[in-house]
Amino acid sequence: MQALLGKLPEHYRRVIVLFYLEDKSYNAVADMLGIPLGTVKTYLHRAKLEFLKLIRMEESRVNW
Amino acid sequence: MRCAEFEPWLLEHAEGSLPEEKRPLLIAHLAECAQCRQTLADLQSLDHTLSREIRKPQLSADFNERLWQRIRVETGGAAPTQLPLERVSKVRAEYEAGLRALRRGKILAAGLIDALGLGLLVGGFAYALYKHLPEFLKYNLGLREWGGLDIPVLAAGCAIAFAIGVLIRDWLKPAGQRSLF
Repeated sequence: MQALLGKLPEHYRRVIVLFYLEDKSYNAVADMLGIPLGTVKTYLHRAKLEFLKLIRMEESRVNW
Repeated sequence: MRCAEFEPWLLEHAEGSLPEEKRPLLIAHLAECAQCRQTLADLQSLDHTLSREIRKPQLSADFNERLWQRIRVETGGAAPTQLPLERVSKVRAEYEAGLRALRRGKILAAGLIDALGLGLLVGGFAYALYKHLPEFLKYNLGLREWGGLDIPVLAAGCAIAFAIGVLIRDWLKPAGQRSLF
């Protein structure tokens, strides 16, 4: 999981780390990164979708 | 609506933040789309996985002690920052000696340049005096003769002025930076 996290773009990774590792709220993440709340949600959603893609690619690579 | 358009809804639904009015439409879509059901299941699973697996490493209580012990073993008994005192003193002495030599050279060069400038100034002034003062005195003050300077005297004056310049320049410096006194 940590290795996959490293493959995410920097701005997605920052949001993921703050949200899950530091357990911050959307508002706190927005304050810390100095970006709008909507952008935090968008980044987090896109990061999750990106993560899903990476996981699926990894699974298909292992199964193949 | 196509599956791609339901993606943001799926994310919000997985977080529990999907507005009520959108929910029936999503549920209806999920009932007939296996791919979106799978994506929703994956998203919910991902949320749990991220919460569980992305966490700060927990260091054991004796981590620092073991780390330093390992550093000592790998550096042959001495921590990397603890250099032998003799070595430190030697390096410091070499550094300071080099710095002094460098400073002395720079100061001497600066002193010579200053003294040369001063010598040229005094010499130029003396030369102007030698060439034009007699005429000035003769025609403006009524003096007829001015037996005074000649070339050797002028040269000696410049040399003395040069030497005095060097001495004054050096003497004006702080005690530690003088190269002649």
